[in-house]
Amino acid sequence: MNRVDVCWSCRGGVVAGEGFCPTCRVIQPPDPRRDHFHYFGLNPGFDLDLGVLDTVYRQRQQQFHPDLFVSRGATERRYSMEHVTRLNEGYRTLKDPLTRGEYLLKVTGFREQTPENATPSDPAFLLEIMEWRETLEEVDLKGKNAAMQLQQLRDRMMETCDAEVVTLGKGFHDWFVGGKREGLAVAAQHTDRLRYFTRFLDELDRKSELFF
Amino acid sequence: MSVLLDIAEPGQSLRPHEVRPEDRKRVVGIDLGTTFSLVAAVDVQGKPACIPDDEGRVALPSVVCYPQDGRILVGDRAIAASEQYPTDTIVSVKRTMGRSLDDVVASEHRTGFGLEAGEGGMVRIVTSHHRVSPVEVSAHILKVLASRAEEALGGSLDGVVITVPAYFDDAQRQATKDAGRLAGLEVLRLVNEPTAAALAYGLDQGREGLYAIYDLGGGTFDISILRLTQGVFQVLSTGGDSALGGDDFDHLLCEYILKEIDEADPSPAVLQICKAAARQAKEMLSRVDVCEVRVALPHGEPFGIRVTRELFEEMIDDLVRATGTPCRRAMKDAGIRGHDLQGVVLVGGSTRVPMVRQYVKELFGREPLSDLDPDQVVALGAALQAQQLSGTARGDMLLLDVTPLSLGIETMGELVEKIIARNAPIPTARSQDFTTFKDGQTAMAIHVLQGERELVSDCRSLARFELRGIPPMTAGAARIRVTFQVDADGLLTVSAQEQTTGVQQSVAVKPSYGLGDAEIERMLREAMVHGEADWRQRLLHEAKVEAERVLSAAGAALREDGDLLDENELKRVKGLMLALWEASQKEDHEGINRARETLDRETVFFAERRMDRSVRKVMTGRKVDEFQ
Repeated sequence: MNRVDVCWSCRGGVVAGEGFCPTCRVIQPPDPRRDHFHYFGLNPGFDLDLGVLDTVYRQRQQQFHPDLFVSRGATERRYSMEHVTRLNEGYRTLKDPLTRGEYLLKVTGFREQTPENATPSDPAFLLEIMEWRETLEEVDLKGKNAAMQLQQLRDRMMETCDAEVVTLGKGFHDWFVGGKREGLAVAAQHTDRLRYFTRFLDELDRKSELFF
Repeated sequence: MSVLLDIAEPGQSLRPHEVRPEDRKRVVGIDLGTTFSLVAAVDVQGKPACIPDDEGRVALPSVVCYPQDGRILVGDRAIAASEQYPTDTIVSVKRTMGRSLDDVVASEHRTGFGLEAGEGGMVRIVTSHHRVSPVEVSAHILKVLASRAEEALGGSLDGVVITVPAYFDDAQRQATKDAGRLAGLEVLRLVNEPTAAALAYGLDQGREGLYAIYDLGGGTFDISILRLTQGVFQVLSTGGDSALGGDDFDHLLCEYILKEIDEADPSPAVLQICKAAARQAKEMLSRVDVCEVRVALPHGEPFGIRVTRELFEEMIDDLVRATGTPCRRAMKDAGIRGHDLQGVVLVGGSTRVPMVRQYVKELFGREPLSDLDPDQVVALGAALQAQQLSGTARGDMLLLDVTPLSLGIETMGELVEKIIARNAPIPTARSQDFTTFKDGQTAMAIHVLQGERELVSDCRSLARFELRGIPPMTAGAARIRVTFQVDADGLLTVSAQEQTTGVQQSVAVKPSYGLGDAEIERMLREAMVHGEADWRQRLLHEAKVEAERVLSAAGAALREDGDLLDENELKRVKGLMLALWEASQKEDHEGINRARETLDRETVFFAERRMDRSVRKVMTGRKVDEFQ
């Protein structure tokens, strides 16, 4: 059921989380209890239409952006800032498959914190990562094919990442659509793999910048 | 009675939907450039135009001359005086804004004036007879532009938008805003130069899609990738070099000329002459393949120096290619490739150099657009944004900008832990938890840094502060939440708070690399702008805005739920509203606030009744749903 808040300005009733008071039309603070999906009006899940995300993002910006509140009072300006900060955070989180996956694992209560270990605990995966690293180390950065070799390695890694995204997406789908809790364990495992691969890509990109 | 209803009607007497001519605010956009600056305003038809001086010139050279007699000459007058006062003439001050002496010396060219380290290591400019901060010099330029605009628009300015290079860091932005304050201006917003340029282009031509803005000015280089969709200008990524520009081309040519005339250790006067000759040669070489410049020194025969375009291009080749790295990085950050772009827009006078155009064409694989004057386009866009912010614009356009550089704090091992990544849309706020590493530790040093590198020594230090009063606990038990907040101007505020105990300790820090607040206040007093009267004006304005909101809210409440009040109550509420309206017509902010508080307090019972009604409505709504 929708909760009712009081408009801070005219003290009329406002459905919690509504952006503007229906009576006096003044901006309301964002509802901290809404998660990013709810805030964007999207169904929680891994598969989302990025075009819709973009459109909602733009529309909300056009409602709440601080530029539109420059000549208003201090409270209204603060709420506008809070909305847009919230909006930017949600957009950033949902847009990228890795952060979206990590966020979903929190929202579903599967795990509170994203693990921060520098090396994976699964020995087989550790070996896999080390092989990638070795290939990267073996690129002779002074050699004349270095830029091309890095690009090829990057393309291969991107394919690997794409495959991870598909697998973790299936895991989330199993939970959200099929109601199977073990889907989340699969999703978590592959989200972790994606995180290590993303770190590897960052390292690779830092090396590639030498050839920019 | 009718008066009461009138004042209570939102959107009519108090908040007009239609912009009446008398509501038009005097707002302008200012492009505060390295070599010259411009001011622009939007006319009644909604078209932006640069405001010329008495002699019809729109570009004001960013040159300030401080002769010993105490005059302050700005622009062409400063240039005219520069040969007489070479050591008192400041050029390219933008290169020193918000920077430390070390930064500037590392990249600086020969100048007629001296530089020294001032408060906090920041640059101070030393003339033959006094010291002046870059912020003050910029303020003098801004004042001249502001008075030009005031004359043209017929009254004092209500606000300005000042542009900054997208790649300016926090200290450089802060310094720019401080210069605006010091010039007595209400800075509505700092806007990134490429974004402003895109604004001018987008509105003129109704374009949509992905665009790259390549902005090579006198002293800075910026690249931004934007997406234009239905009036929304979304910056996807930005990059650049805040110390690379046409000045560097001049510098190389100047060194060449000095060598040709055999001057190893030129006097400030000779240096001025050679710099002018270098600039002249550069401009000619954009049109012809070979040129000859005359260098007339104070003593002796004038020299004629021949420069070919080929030689010039050889000189600047490395500099031009240096713009490629930020471009490729920006495209990668935006997740796009050259062929995804609908167009590349050229901004900044240095994009007139044919070699630069050729390089941009190679880099992005397409012919760049340059249909608007690259010197004016930033100021025009800033004027449009100023108009938008004043709430009187007609169009629906919105700028969504990003922070150019990552922000973080120092952690163990002199490493930087990033809290906000570069190219994050602003405004933004992010927190990260840290903990104590010693038993009984009661204070924690927080060092705020900006930059992409991993080592503290490779990033820019923005601020240091200490969080004190952490209750003594075993190591690792305290939870200190550090929050970074970047506002719509791209300016950072940092706060830290201990979480585990009920004790909420928090320190807010504004990086003060530009100038300390105390120093600004002192200069404001000296300059006798603002002061007591302006402060009161501000309080009054805020009180009026609040009163207007409360009256509009009360009016809406009465229309919606007026039936909840009996006749006496209604009369009383309306009486209080009238009292507030009357107070808001006077110039006493305390009186307005008192009347507003009384209305607030005396209508609590009304609010409670309305709340009950709303709750009942929602309950009823649910029952209907359930029955369906």
